Amino acid sequence: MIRLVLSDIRLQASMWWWTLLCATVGAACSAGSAIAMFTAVSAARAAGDARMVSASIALGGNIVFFTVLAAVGIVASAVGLTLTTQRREHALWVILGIPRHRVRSILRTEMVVLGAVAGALAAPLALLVAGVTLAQWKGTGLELHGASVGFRFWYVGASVLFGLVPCLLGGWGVTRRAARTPEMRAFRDYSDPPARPGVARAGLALCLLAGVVGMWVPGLGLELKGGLAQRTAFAFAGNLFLVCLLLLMGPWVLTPLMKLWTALVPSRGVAWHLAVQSCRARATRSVTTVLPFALSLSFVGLFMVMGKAMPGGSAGLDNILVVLGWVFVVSWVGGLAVIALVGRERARDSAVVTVAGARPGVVTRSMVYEGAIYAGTAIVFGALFVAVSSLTIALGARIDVVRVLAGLPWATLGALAAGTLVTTCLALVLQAARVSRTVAVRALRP
Amino acid sequence: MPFSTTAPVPCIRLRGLRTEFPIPGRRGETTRVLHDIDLEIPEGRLTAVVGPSGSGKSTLLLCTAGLERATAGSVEILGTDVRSLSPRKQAAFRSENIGFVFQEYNLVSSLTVEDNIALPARLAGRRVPRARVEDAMARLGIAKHARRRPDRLSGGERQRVAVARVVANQPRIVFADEPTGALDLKSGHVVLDWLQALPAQGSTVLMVTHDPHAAARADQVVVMGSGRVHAVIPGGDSHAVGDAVLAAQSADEAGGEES
Ligand SMILES: Nc1ncnc2c1ncn2[C@@H]1O[C@H](COP(=O)(O)OP(=O)(O)OP(=O)(O)O)[C@@H](O)[C@H]1O
Ligand SMILES: [Mg+2]
Repeated sequence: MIRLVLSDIRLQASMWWWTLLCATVGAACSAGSAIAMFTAVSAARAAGDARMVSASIALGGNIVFFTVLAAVGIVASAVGLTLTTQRREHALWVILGIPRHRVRSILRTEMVVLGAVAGALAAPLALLVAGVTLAQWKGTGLELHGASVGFRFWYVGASVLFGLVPCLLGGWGVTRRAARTPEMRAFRDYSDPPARPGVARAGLALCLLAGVVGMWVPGLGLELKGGLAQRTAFAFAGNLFLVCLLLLMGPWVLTPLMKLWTALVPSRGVAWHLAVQSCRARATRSVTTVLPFALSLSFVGLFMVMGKAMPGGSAGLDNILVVLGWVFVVSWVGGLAVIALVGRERARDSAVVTVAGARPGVVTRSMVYEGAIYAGTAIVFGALFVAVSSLTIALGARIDVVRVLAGLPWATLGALAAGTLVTTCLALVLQAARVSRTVAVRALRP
Repeated sequence: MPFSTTAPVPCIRLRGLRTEFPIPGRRGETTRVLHDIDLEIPEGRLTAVVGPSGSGKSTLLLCTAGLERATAGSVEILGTDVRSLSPRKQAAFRSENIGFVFQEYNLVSSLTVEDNIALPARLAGRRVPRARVEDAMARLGIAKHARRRPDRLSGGERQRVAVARVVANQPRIVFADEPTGALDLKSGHVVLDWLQALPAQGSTVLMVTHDPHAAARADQVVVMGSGRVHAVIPGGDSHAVGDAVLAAQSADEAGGEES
């Protein structure tokens, strides 16, 4: 059976490499920012600078929070996708007579090994990340009392932990489902996402919803002792819960959003048609692709709105990069990994289209459009979220929404949106190039 | 129907068609799969290709259709030398004139049944009238699955969708590679009945099959053996077809032992 597992991993090697890359980068960024925070705090303690201690905790806490949140979300969904695309093989194992609980434990072992390896690989990278982070803080004018990152043994532990947790979170539900779905259904490769959210997801969503309401009620409605600053902070926190809630419910939020805006595009071209149908038919895959980009765009939007609304705040990109820099790294690596992960699935459809007589450019164009649909969905999501957060934060700060909106750095936001578009399209162009180099019919031989 | 060896216009004319594949692991070395094949396929007829496994039937079909690259020789379809066309022109030619039914993987998995049926016309920049798509689905008994995706259909239903696609698009030539290979007897008969009926609409059908009964439905049967055309016999008699395949096979084996 070990042989079976090993040969399975070898066969899917390229897929596991991407997942490993994604998990490693996630672990390195999470662990690195945590290490930076502890280094800064302990340096400030040693120097007896109480103001600096609290500043490091405030800034570092924010960075760690956002980075870990993004990394866990993105790595978990990528790992989930990896397992989901392999469910045919897993169904075959069951058919071959391996008991279901065995399949489940094999998959979980794979997850643990993957997470541990990623964490171990991430340990040296985490030191690098921590070094860069501290340099960034110094650049913003924080006095760090010569804090520098030296090696401590617990760094490795932290890194492994940050490698393991997202893998297990992402893998748990899928492994349970993988070992439970009727074999033949998995075998036929139905592409449907689950119709309803599971218990765990629904519970978490309810908590987040309570968070949104709990923050917005005082932030938008009540007179608080802390004045406007406190109201704004509550409104901000409410938005934070909201974005987490929306992304957690991604399949039920991003999919309809994608369907809606693509239906509004009045194109009759066959390449566009193929792209739209492909995105819709593979909803799980699409959501996972959109998620990292939607997450980073909406985080940036939220921070810019907040920077605009807070007195003395700033909405410049360099300030945002200090907090969200690692979120970007994780998102972009995660997004590209997901696109690469599902490349194999696209090859066969492209081959059928080519055989049916598609002109040489059609397959490439439809793949580029597919990238544009992913980016577009992330951008529409980000834009809607910026609108909501502008509205709520303006209400909290008692300023005019129009003023907040007018003050946002639209050029930067536009550049980010363009960057997202270019990234996804480019990734798919590269894939299309690889597909077009192979003889179409060979992809059709089983 | 009387068989005529002097069909007026050959729809497909192969001259010295040779195909070699690189041997994996040995650089520069190739294995020859098709040995200088000369063949004419009459227009508006059903032609079957039979032969032992590995004799190059699929390769012949794919090279003729321009989907696999031949090493040498010429392929003339409807008077056009397709091997000299640019890839763009070849694709255009395929979407205008050629339809396919393979054993498996005929359909784009993300498109619904009706979209799959309308695909070749869309690729050619035309629109198939809805009525024709619906008519084809109704005739093949898959109208109730129109909005389903292929992963929700049985193998037989999927194969009928592929046939409905050629019925609706009416390509001049249909290439079918073991179209009934994975089907039960009844679904197989449905598919064969339709392929047999296509010549009446003016299509030429070239079908690879292992089933002598299916081959016997053809107007002409091409018997392949180890990359060569072993014989071309009239259809109609499944015993004759079976005997010819066995003869080709034993000739293969005799040839294989000599070399
Ligand atoms: N892409 C390829 N590369 C190398 N060899 C190939 C390739 N495709 C086919 N062959 C070889 O060419 C020979 C003929 O293959 P082909 O698929 O045409 O046989 P066939 O007559 O269709 O057999 P079957 O009835 O089993 O489908 C086989 O020996 C096969 O191994
Ligand atoms: Mg074959």
